[in-house]
Amino acid sequence: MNRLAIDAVEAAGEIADFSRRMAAGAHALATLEAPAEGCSDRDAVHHEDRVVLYRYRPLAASAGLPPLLICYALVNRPYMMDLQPERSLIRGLLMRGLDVYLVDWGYPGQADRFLELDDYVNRYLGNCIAHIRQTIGVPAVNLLGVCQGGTLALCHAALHPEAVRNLVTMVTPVDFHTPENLLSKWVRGVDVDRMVEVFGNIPGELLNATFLSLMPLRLTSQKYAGIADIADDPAALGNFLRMEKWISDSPDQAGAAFAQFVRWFFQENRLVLGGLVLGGRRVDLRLVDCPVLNIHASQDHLVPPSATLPLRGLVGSRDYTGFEFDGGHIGIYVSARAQELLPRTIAEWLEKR
Amino acid sequence: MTDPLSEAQQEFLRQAFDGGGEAIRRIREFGEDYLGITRELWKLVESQAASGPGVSSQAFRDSLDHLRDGLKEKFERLHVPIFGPLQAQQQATEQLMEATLRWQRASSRLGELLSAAATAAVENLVAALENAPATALPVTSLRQLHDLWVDCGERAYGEIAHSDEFAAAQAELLSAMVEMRFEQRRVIEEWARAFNLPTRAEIDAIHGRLHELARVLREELKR
Repeated sequence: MNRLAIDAVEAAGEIADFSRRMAAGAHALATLEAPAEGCSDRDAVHHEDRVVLYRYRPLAASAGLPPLLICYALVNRPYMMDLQPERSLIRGLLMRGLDVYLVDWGYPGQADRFLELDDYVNRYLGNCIAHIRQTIGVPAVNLLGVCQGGTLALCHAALHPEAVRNLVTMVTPVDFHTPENLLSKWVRGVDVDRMVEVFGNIPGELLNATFLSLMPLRLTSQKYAGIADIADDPAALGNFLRMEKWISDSPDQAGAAFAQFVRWFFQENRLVLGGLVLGGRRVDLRLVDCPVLNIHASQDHLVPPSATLPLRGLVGSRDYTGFEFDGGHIGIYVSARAQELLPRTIAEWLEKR
Repeated sequence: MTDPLSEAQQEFLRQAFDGGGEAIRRIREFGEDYLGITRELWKLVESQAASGPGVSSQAFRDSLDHLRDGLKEKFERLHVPIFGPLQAQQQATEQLMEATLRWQRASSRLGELLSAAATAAVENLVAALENAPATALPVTSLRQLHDLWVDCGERAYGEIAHSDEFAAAQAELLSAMVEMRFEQRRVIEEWARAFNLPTRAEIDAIHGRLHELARVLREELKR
């Protein structure tokens, strides 16, 4: 059977209509204001080098839980967690009475090229947690690690178990050598030390191009053709613009830390196979003995479920909860379903502990 | 009209190299050959574009291979002994050209794989249209056709992108780009040094020392 049933006259009309809608969409996009980075009120409460710790202002009566610190990835900007009022995981958590903090790694400059993973995991994240513990007067914080930030949070929890009361990981890679992990397959043959020696910091544009090339047609041609569908919907165009800004807003990566992350995690899979040492201390996930909630996305093309599910068998905690979100790596932050489901899941899980 | 200055310069070079005239001749020949190959490449692209879609890409690939082999052979002839007052610059230039050639080869190899993915995508699309099960919905708009092509393209690309061959080609392209950049930077830094300007390497060294000093200081303050 031949499925092709396009009428030539209708196709001509479709082309004309598509062109008109794309032009209208481009015109409407040009009239929109540049999107803001985050929408919830917050205060910078601690600085170190380029790293800033933010505390969000409450939106509801306190749930009486220890503060929740969000540790985001190094490779993108954390305002994805607070994109706009109706698409904000942070807002959802605040509405449930949680005391939310966020560590913002900033944009590394050339002077930061020698920063190592030890600096991020032990020093910066450690000092943010120490600041919260001292100012709030709590013995330990709840830690929420997102994507690569989840991997960093796991390392921190293994090295400093006394500082983490509960650990939540979201779309977090743990096993970097599963067959579905295309990114991992690509970087295994790369001489990353030489790359950093020559580049210094790794340009964010290079990482962006790599992420796009995971699904090049869907993430370019199909996405932009979709402008025609929302050309007369200013709210949808605003959402589109916010996402576009976030996707291309990739900080350069501090050279030494990038090389260590690629070599130790992507190439040598040390979190699973062992041998990871940060700041002179061995990272052993069996020392993560606090309750763990691991949230993954069933259709995640960046961190496939197979890359994160092995966490259950690696941590020492006897209180492990897995949660599957039906969606992709981006949908877990911004889809309408995620807005109600994830804050509720996280808050209820924390309340029980 | 003859430029007396140019003549004097050429005479100076002839005398300075004293036998290095052979080297200069080879470099000039290489430049001419390189331009010739570039001309041939554009002719080839032009003829391929004029042929329109549907023409076998095998002939195009064979022609590209022929051009690349020609370039490689001419490049190998460029190699001349390194001597004389400009030997460091000569070596740097040769290494940069070698790195550029490696990058071109790697770029071409990845391009071949992407081209194979594009061909497979079209084959997938044709199969999806012509050999669809009776239950499949008809494609009645260009937009549906575009979406189907995206599905077919991602499937074809995914199969190639997951192959060891693709990973190796991509790693080689990245590596070649890194080496080309390294050689470019080396040439630029030579110029910067000649004008007593700071270089990236020198600033990196300062940053490295500062980073180490800060680390030592933090440890001391902890005690």
